[in-house]
Amino acid sequence: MNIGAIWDVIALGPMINILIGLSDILFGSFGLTIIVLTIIIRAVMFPLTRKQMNATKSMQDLQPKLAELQKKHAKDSQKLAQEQMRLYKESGVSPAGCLLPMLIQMPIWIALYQSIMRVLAVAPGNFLNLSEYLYSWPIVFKALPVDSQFLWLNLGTPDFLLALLVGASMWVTQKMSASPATNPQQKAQAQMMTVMMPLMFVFFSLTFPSGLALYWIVSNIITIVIQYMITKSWGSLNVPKYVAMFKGLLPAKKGDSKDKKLKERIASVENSKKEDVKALKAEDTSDNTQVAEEGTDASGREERQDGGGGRKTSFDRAKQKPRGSRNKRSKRR
Amino acid sequence: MKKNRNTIVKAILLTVILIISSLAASCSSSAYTNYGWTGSVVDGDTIYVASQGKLTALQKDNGSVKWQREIEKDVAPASPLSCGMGAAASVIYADPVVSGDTVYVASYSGKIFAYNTASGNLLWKYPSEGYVEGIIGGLIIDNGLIYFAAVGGTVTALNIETQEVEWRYDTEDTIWASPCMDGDTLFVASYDKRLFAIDINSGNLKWDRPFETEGPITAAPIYDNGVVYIGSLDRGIYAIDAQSGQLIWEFNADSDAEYTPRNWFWATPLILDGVIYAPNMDGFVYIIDSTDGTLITALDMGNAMSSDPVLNEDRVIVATQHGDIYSINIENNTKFLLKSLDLTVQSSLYVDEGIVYVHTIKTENLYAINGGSGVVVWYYEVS
Repeated sequence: MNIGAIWDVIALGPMINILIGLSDILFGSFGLTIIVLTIIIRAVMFPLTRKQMNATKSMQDLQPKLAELQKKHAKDSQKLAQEQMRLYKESGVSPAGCLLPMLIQMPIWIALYQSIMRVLAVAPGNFLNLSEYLYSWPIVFKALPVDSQFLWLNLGTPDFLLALLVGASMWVTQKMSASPATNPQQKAQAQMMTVMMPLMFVFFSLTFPSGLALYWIVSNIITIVIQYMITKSWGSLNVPKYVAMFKGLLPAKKGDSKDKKLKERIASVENSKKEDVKALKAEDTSDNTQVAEEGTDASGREERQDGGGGRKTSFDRAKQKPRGSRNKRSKRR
Repeated sequence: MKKNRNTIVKAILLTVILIISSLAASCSSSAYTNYGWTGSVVDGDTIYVASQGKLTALQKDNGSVKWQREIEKDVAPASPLSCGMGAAASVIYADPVVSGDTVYVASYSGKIFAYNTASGNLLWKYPSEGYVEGIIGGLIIDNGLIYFAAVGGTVTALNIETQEVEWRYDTEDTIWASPCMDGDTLFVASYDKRLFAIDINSGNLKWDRPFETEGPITAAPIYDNGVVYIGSLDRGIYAIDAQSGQLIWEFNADSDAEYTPRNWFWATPLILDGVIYAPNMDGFVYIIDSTDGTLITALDMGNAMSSDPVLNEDRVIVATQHGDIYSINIENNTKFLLKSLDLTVQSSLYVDEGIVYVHTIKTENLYAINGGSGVVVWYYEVS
């Protein structure tokens, strides 16, 4: 048995039959089938994914120590490697732990890609070859042909919008999982990976059937959710910044216009306060002269009508709580 | 600064490598490759064989080339990244057809070409500009009209003289199978599990509703004595009343027979004196009584069969996908291995004057094999 035949028996055959059988259960929708199958695959691989994420997190935690080692043994690369290995061993971290689950997923991608191509009959000749992979389950023979239409997509051909979504979701996962850089070179490499990986997947999505792109999007979304649940952080993804950017792109909401009006009102009140203060100063100057004259002339002391609090400005009035709220507070008391 | 420049160079190099490797992986992958499975046709002393991008006329006796023409490569609306998924240029699935002094070829990219049989000159093409939907099933020529079904589901009657459409009927299904004609009825089977009977005079449906199977139909329907027979990918052979479209009998995987089909009936069965010879993808040829659908016997050929069988005197010739050519004696239903070609055979076979013509794909050769002895008379390397 050659390796191709082994691959067909252990990977391609099961994948094709599960896809076809599942599509029959899921109302003949192949798009829905891909989504459900992705969720099942990711659920099965969850222990590995968790291990990978924990390993990544541990690697991130080790970065400061690694940076110290790099500084310390900058001139002796052999010693540096030894020390790094010692650190990994002491910390119980395996750099391969980050890569293994990714490598395990690769055959699944390939099997899924080949299955989609055959099941959707993208090329007639390859649909003909599908027969050699079919199990003798009646459901498999009756479920064909599967419906290649899903939402706006023809799952057998590439789709530009889906390719962009793959790139975007891949970029988020990259940002979330990127290790903090300890030196400029690492930083450049990390930045390159953050850009290169999504670009690469956009390109793949433009080349392969959109059914595979659908798998990548769902898979990326699941990764984002799991990553957030495990690490409780968005990694190097500055979420508030992007939320603010996104908000900036949206038209102003009702609440926003209220805030704006309130700010305008406060600004106008502050302006009028300044004017009032100026006017008051001017009045005070003239009043003082008058009072000095009156005080001397009539009672010999200053008469204050406002009880010594000074004249109430419009700003002071604006600062007063509305009656309603004051009443409520007093009621609570 | 130098480090940054190195990083940029590395990034660019990596991008280029990835692009090239992914293109190579996707486009060279067998999953994307469109091999046509066109057969051949004999007219007079010439055999015509269509291949990827070419139509060749060969001397029937010795396989020498009379003429060869490039089949126009259409500029189909496929993205440069789609690796020919949209419409592969000049891939031919349908068998060429000869009528009068013209040989007709239909391409998967959606064009019909008419060549002069003697000179090989292109007489016309339809449509002259652009293309219709891809054509996988064959052409039927009758009374000055070409009938064809396109992948997108439209069945068209095209006037040969004017190259104008006489009528068009949209089944709204995908169609891969060749149509079959009897009298004024055109029978068209679809990949979406249905069989239509269309009146060739009006282009309207004859039956109240199409006959439905439980699987896609890729084999051409066959007509015999008021009954239409079809093989389906649901592992069944159906006999349908040609007038009413009602089921007469069905032979399938659930039948109470010694052997039951375990895979698709992809190839068009052959009917002869009330007996149906139906090759299956499970490697068996099912020999069925056409009157009631009972199994007479099943012969194990060892490998999947998708080529249409042919009759050579009192022998039925079948070919497996692995290139084994068998002869079945219709008197006692015994098999005889004529020739092992060790090449992929998916095209329909053709027989003329005791010679079996086999067009292999991937490695495209045309073999002329003596139908009695299995001796290769000549072969021509098409590609």
